[in-house]
Amino acid sequence: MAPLRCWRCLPPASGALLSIRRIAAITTISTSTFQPFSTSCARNAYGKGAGDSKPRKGVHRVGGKSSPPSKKKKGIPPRLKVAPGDRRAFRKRITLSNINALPVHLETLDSKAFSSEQSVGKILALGNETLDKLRRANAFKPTQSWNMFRKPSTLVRRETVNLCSKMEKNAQENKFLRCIISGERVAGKSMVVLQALAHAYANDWIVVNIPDGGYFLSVYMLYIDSLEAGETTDRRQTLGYDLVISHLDYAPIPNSNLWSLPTTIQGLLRQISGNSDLSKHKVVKSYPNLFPNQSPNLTLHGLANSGSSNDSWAVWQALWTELTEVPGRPPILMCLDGFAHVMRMSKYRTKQFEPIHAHDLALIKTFCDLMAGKMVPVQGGAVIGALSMSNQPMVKSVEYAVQYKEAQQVLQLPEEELPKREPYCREYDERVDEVLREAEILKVGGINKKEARAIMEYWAASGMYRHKVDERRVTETWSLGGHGIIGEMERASLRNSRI
Amino acid sequence: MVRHITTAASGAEREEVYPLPPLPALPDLDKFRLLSASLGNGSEVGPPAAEGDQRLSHPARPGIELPQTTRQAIAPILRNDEMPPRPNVVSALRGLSIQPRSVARSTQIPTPCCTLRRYSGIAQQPPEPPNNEDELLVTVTNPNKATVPRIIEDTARAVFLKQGLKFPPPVEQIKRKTHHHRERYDSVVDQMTKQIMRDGKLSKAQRHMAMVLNFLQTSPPPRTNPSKPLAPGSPRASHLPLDPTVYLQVAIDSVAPLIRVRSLKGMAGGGAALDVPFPLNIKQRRRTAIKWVLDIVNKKQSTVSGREMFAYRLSQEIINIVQGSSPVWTLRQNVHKLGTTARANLKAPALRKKGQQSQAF
Repeated sequence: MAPLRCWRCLPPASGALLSIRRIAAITTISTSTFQPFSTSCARNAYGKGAGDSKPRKGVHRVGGKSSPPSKKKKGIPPRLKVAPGDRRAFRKRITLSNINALPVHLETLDSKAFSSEQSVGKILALGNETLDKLRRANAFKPTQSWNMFRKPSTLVRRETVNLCSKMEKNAQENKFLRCIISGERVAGKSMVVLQALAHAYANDWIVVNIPDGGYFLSVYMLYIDSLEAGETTDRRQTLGYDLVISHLDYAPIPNSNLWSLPTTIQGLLRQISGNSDLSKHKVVKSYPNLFPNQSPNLTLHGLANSGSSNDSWAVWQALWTELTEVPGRPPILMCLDGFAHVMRMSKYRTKQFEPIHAHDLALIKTFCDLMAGKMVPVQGGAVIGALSMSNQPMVKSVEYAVQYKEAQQVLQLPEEELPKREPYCREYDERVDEVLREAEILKVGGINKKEARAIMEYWAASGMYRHKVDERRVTETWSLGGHGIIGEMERASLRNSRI
Repeated sequence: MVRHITTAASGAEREEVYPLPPLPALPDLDKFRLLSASLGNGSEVGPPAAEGDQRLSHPARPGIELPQTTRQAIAPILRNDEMPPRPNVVSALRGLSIQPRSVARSTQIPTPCCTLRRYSGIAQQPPEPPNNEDELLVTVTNPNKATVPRIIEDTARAVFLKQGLKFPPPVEQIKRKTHHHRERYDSVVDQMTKQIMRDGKLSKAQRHMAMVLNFLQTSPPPRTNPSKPLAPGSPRASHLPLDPTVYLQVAIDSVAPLIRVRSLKGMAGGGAALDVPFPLNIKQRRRTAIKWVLDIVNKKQSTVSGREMFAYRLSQEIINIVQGSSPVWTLRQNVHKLGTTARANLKAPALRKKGQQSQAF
């Protein structure tokens, strides 16, 4: 007799990559095909009700009369069949245009706009090319108000200019900027990250963006599986969360303590090669593991697109070496939103079922090395980590570092007034402390009234805000929005009422 | 000297011609009395009209001249300055149509006006349609931004008079705007929010409502169905998404029933129940419509997930109402059909004896 199980579905030998998706497939097959014992036949023999003792049609009957087949109920509309993934797609969809809104003629973003002092308080439209790149990098979020206006436009605020001018200055001097963005909820932290990305794209930087969870559509089937198991996916919105909640395939990297996320890294490689013009840069060093017969004409674009998901980490390392160690390359920007999620133990486990620290995931390690200053690209650039206040895990070290840096750099308190660690607390993590020690902080707070007026005039010009925008109205909205917290201002005026 | 011209402005004098709006704005009563007093009963307020003058001049707005034919039309009905009789709901129900309201809308004058004219006994003759378009044009000297809307309003009033109405049709009084925090939202929005609310969680209901309005704001303009006409006076469909509150109000008011039919036990004699139509006020009408909408929405299967699940279904239903494809239209039609059948019962002797009729109307 032929074996019931397909040999290809069996797991490979130990040490090779074992995909979780493959495990799920195997489990499904095995549970449905090989059940040593089943009670379903006996249960189906009788009806559900207590008094219903008649055997059903088609079931083996011992004796007595057979009941007539039950009629189908009429008048009940058939249940809608929603294709797998449609519900999630609705939740995660990003609409960047509203045809009802009136078009507003605005200046388009150029390479100097976000770093120039004259732009503060202006609304700038994102150009089509930048828009495509940002979309490919998944920089937009479904909770932002892009779907209200005709064309994506953004307010240039003081914090934007501060950050982008610092980025520009560092890149000119071949220095590397290490920055954490903190601030209140809905204050616009993710928007500042988006503006930094747009600035980098406009200046032809190499950009790596680790966005919210929508980026990882490759884990789609696993989402569906977990939904059916009754789990909620609402809390998995940030990428940091996605990275560490153990639903991406992962594998140990040989001869190291690190773990690779092959599918994730492959996606990031595609993002980099799609958004940057890598084809004009040739590969300088040789990589015999990847290319036994390496062509001298191999470009970075060819390198980034080579290989499968299995050797994506090796390709990533090669590309990263080329980008950071060879002079003459464009500056690098790496951004990560939902920063606190990757500063703790992950949900991944080793073979011995011990939890893996998020810093042992190789991709996160790259980010941490940049942030800690262990790795400094020769051509300079920036690494930006943004906190998320709506979905933030409690990480003592991150909280302390942010408090300390805000007191030191924003408030500029004297040394003796700076916050101290809790002496009896054991939850501080040395690895996290080390990463955040040298980082700068950028506090994103409320916008001022001039900026508030600019954005409200833009709402009104788009037809989305149907009031006269005058001094009184601006001040009122600014006050209702907690002194210019832009998300709260939107709730108080643009979005009809609270959301 | 002011000239009455029939075409666009010409000649050395700069004069402008303002054509009448298709559906005139409803004037308020005080201004109307002012006009009627000065025109018909000798002027008590404002300067008197000159003897022998062929044209009437407006007392408060000397720039306006009313044509002679208008004066003749309004003269007989201005003699008696009294309030019209109270609108009779029995007759209103008689005018209630089972068919969609396209017929009612096709007339120039709204239905309550017809009722008034028919039963007040004042204006027996049907109004003549304006035979000369030129008479509806008003010549104005020195118009400015402040006077133009009022001039249009006054002219509209004159047209009402010409159409045989002694008084303007009844209008709902506009509520004075307050700054009380309980009245910060639109009345329909507020009512619907309260009906969405479950277990006293108003904040959650408000969140749903805000998401509904945002869906309406970002959805494409609806395609209206001519066989399911929207409430009279509603803006064009293409204008609705930019004002989601009006969008919602138009949808709810369009499917709100005029009446409800109560079944009075034992009133038909022999223990049989008597179906009697009762009129509803605007709040009750809206409440019924919202209840119908929410019933349908709650039964519908959701095709999406997340926090916008309910709001999405509700907004889709509201869009369906405006597009004429919602089953709520049938519910409304059924109630009106029942009311038409049951209106004969209003004259039932048992009802009259019990005083139910007076209580109802």
